[in-house]
Amino acid sequence: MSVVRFFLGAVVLVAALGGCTSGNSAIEPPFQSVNVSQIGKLQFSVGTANIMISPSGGVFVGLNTVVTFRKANGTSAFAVNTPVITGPAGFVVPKSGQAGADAGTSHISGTPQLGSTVTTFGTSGQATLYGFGPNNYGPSGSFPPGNYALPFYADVMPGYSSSSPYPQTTFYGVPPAFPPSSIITGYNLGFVDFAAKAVSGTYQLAVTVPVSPGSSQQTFTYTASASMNAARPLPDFLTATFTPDKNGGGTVNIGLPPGATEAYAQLNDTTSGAIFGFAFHSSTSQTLPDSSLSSGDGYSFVAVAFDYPALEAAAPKSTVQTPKIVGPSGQDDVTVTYPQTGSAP
Amino acid sequence: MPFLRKSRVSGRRGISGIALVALIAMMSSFVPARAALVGSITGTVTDSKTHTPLANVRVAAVSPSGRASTTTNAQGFFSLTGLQPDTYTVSFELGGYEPSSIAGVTVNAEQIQTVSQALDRRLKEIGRVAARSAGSAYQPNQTTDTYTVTAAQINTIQGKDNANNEVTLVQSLPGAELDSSGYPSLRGGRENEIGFEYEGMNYTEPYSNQFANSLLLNGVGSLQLSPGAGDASQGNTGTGVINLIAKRGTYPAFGQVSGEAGAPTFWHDFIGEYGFATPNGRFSNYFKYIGQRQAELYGNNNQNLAQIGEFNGNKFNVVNDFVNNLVYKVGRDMSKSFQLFYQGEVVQYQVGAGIPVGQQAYRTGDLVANQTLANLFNLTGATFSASQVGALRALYPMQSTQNQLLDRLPAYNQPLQALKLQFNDNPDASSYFNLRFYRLAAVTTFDFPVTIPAPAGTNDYQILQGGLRTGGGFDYNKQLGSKHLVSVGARYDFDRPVFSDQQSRRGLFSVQGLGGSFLSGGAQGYEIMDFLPPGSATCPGTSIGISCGYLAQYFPHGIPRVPPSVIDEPYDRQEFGLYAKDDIQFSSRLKGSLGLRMDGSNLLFGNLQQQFGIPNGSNDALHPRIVQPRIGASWQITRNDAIAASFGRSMQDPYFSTMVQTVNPAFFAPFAHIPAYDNLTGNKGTAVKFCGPILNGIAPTQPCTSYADQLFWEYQNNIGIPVFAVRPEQFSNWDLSFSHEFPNNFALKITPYYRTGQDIIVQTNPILRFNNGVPLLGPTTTTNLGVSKTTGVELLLTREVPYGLSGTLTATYLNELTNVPPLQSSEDFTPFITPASLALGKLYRVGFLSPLEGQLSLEYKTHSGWRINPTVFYIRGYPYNQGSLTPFQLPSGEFAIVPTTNLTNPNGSNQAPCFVDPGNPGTYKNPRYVACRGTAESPDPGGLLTPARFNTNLTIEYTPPRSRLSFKREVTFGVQILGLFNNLYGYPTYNDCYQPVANGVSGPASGYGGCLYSTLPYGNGVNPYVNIRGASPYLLIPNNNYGFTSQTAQAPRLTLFYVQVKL
Repeated sequence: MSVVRFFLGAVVLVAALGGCTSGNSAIEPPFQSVNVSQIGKLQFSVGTANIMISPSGGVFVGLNTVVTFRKANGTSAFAVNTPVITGPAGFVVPKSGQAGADAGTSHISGTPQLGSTVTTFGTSGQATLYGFGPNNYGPSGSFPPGNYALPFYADVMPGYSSSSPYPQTTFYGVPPAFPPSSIITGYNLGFVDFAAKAVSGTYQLAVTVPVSPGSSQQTFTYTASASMNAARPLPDFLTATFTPDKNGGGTVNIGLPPGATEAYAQLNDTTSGAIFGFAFHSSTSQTLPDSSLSSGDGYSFVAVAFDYPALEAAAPKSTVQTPKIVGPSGQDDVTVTYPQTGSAP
Repeated sequence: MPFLRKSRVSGRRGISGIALVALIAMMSSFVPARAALVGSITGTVTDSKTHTPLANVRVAAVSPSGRASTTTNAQGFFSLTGLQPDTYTVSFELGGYEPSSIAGVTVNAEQIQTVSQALDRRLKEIGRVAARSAGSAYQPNQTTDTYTVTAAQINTIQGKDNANNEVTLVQSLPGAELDSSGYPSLRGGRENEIGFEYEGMNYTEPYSNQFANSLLLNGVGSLQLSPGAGDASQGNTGTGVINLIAKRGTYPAFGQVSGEAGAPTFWHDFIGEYGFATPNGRFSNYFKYIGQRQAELYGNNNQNLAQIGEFNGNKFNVVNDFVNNLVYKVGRDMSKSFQLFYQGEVVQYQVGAGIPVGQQAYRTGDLVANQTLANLFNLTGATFSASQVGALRALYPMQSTQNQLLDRLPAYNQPLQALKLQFNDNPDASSYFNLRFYRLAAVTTFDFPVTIPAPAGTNDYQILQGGLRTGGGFDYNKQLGSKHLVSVGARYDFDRPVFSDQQSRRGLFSVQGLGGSFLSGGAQGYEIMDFLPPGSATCPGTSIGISCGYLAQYFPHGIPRVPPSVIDEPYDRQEFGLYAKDDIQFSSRLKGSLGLRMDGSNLLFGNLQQQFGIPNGSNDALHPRIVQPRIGASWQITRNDAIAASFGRSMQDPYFSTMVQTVNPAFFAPFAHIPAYDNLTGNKGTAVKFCGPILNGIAPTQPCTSYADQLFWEYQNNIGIPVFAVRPEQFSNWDLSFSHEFPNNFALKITPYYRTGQDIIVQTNPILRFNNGVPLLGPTTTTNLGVSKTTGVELLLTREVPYGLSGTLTATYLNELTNVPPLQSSEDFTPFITPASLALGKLYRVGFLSPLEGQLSLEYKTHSGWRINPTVFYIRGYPYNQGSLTPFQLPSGEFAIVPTTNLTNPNGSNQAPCFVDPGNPGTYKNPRYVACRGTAESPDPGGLLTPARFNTNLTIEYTPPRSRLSFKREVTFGVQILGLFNNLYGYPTYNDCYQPVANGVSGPASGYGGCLYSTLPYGNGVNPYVNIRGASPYLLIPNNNYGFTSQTAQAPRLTLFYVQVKL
């Protein structure tokens, strides 16, 4: 056996053991990218938001929005996107501290990643699988927070100012109306209302999705539009009360507004942080089980009524890509009560 | 910070050369250091015709390193023991018979070479056996799996003569691998589980069990690698031992000087060595000096180091290394000798390569750094300014004012002083005795006088780490009859670990109250307020009502700075070992080794219990005694075929960093006469604060005796490490070797092996108790809960000839399962097991090792003076992926295997392969993803391998005939090209600053967040935001942020030119 052939054989052996890889250069691991333009479906609807401005009554009719932006399996289409809602002629974003550069314009917008412009949604706001939310992932991969406190622009609601703000509510789909989640506080109910005067007409939604990173990144924009008649808001609740008992429980009474098909009532234990949610599809009452509240706990109670299948389109029950989100009237109207506060006896 | 990882010569660098020395001369320059490094020759002499044994035959074995002689007994048997590994000529003389001799008898350490001879009454030509190098793969007499690498092989593997990179040498050997951090590994063990030895001395520093010599080879004549337990004379060697054997002086003398320069980086080496002996060999001395000044090279020229993550990369290396080996033989037949061995080494690795020149200065008053700290000190209602923080911080060592610039780069200063005195005695040919004493001092200074703002996250610290070993031992070998070579021996080491960790920032945190609440009433300390001037605007504004400036009344000339936090390791350890073994020659072909050793230690914790109230630990941790059987056998089946099998238990003493670390109380002396003070209540004196250790979450109850006492316990309970002692790690090793000698000097050895590890030292959060079925976890602590199982195959193919084609081919296949989750940053050094993984008994394949590595080293040498030496180092690939499944503790307390998401990934959300949908996350067991990185994951982490790599170096030398030179010295001119193909071997890994959008789609913020240097001067001056991560879901390293790495150093082509002059 020739010496040279012997070692050449050894060389071949090494190469074979190496799987004849092309490892003599820097190679990133293989990964597949989805086609951004094809994996999501965007739905958008608007309506009026009848927002009570005091415990004793009085309403402000603002803008209600509903969006779904989902993959085929019903999850959010993208982890990062930037929505912009453009209102019809006459629609004006109020000069709220939350509006930033949107104030005085006809659009409610988010800020693209790396941008510094202050807007309503900012860089964190996105169109989620249901509703808008501050759910854009950042570059660290940490879990983004939950839902928006509503309504937007509450600081310009009639009778309120920065020193006396309107008590915004963050709605969560929580038990007993929704199944519990060990990861999130609760599910998004899909509606986001704005204390911007509702104007009839067509609203455009453009959701921009980054396709490539960097300051000169390419993007793809999904669009959808919806129309509404601002002249026919949902009336007030007939009844929306929480009556605590002495055992840490209580009774939730809901009288749906005329035209509403369902409602959601939320009770926040402001002492312990516990939240309870109640779904209604008719005017009735439900019971908060005993021992839910501790004696002396403060609470806040609020209810919202819908004239469209809001609760049916919410996660986790709804996992279809395009759930029905438009009510019989062709628009999505809500009525929101003024938060009722008290303490458990 | 339990302990830090030392630097070492980078993966390909540190290779230097001096003149080529002839193979025989090199092989003749070995000297053994201890019984474990000597061998024997035995045999039987008979009459060639009658085959009767011949008595009183004078047998002599002669080599350049020494000689030994004896006479045969009535059965014709002879034995020569205590022989230094070398190539001997064995001669036989008996009146009436023609003298006979056999040349080329190679003696390896711990081997019995059988040489039988038949004498003839007529004239006989000098006999000869096939010369077989000590480095040949065919060693039919070895009963344990050991590889001896000769000087010639070292040269071939490293490309040129006397290269000094121990890493590249070891990584090329069977059973050894280069781990993904660039450190050597034996049979899957970690770098600090290896027994590094030089001249029989334990060459690891006692604090962290890391190598003491920066893995630089100096004065090394040969290397002996024993993956596994080795024989019974080897103790405290973990997963294997690497023993370096020094050269010694010879007659005639030899010497060399060498100069080397490289390009494109600054690369200067000067090396000189000289070895001589008196003609009769009574006195010999050898010394060698290595001086190096080398700059590292990253990527292409003008590479933005911050962008490839080498902001803190290695910048410049300084090496001054001196070795001297003196031997003086005494006695009429020079059968006794004294050896004095010394090594003095000063190695400095300067880092901070990405810090702009002139801007590397540190100052305690650095506004940028202090603003970062001030932001962290965001007490409720209190706002610290950068200047206030600067005025409070302890000064850096050797800094006299807070604004004094310390104009130096951060550096690893790794000095070494080693001294050994050994007495050797061959009272007769069949016995050998040595007695040795040694002292080794290796204390590394991690000098990082730089506070770099986030995201680099480098805080200033000066850490002294290492220690002293003072020890000794003896070995005694005796041939009993013709079959038994019995050996006994003992060792004793006194370890004095050194650890001093000083960080000014950490001191601030301690008195600021972060990191724990333990003093009176459960209130946090907030002693930082006491150091502020009275009436400072900060204090009255705090909503928690802290009064400030308490100390001002006691220091009218100014309140001292906050004391530095200095952690010390004030405890010692005694190590000892005893062994006995019997090397049995059943026949000339069948040999066995039966040994037993016991290693133990005593941790000298003193009054730890009284001083700190900390339980010392169990007796088997404080005073372990580990009994280790070692059994081996070899059978030479035919002349060219042999098999060997061995079993051995081995152990590794714990590194000291697992022991108690205490805050140095000396820095609190200025506060000794000040009453304790509670600035929440304004009360002072006794019983306002309570001092003592926190055990099991229980606050102390003893009143603080003074403000110094108060500060001490504030520090100790926040940053001291009251970790209980742990037991030594233990390993069981099985191996089976087959070796074959081919024609033309080829030899092959294949060794399958299996190794298990028990009591492996790992960190975890132990389950303290169950509360309604929910496990309650304790703080992170060090335990013996690690296990490992390693299966592998070693392959060695050798050919050594003086001219023509020589070379070695080595390969190591390894499959190691361990309960340490892979791909943590500390997996290969200080591993951590998540409680969920531990509770579920999950095993993984290790993430820091390639399943297959190998090296082909060829040398073609001509009679006309040319030498061509290519080497190819092959790595199949390192695991890199996080895996799609991971153990996790659910909110219910249940441990379960769940999909790996940003919510469950134990290595952090930024390393997650998938991200859950915030709108509908599903559950931990059934998450709903919004985006994944786009690569198909294996279920377990580490299932995907980085691309294979072939690192290729080429050396070409020419040594003209002396007649062509005007001066009659042997001169060699050489050029070595490292990284011949100029490949940048980037390793894929997760981009931890990836912004997920959809599967495989990165958001525009990828590479931002925590991946930017946000503040000048650490930005690029134009745009201060230097992205160090890039934007892809994956990135390639070198691009990490943790200093120089092997893969970085392996990157670009480097050309070295050298001239070697043989003296």
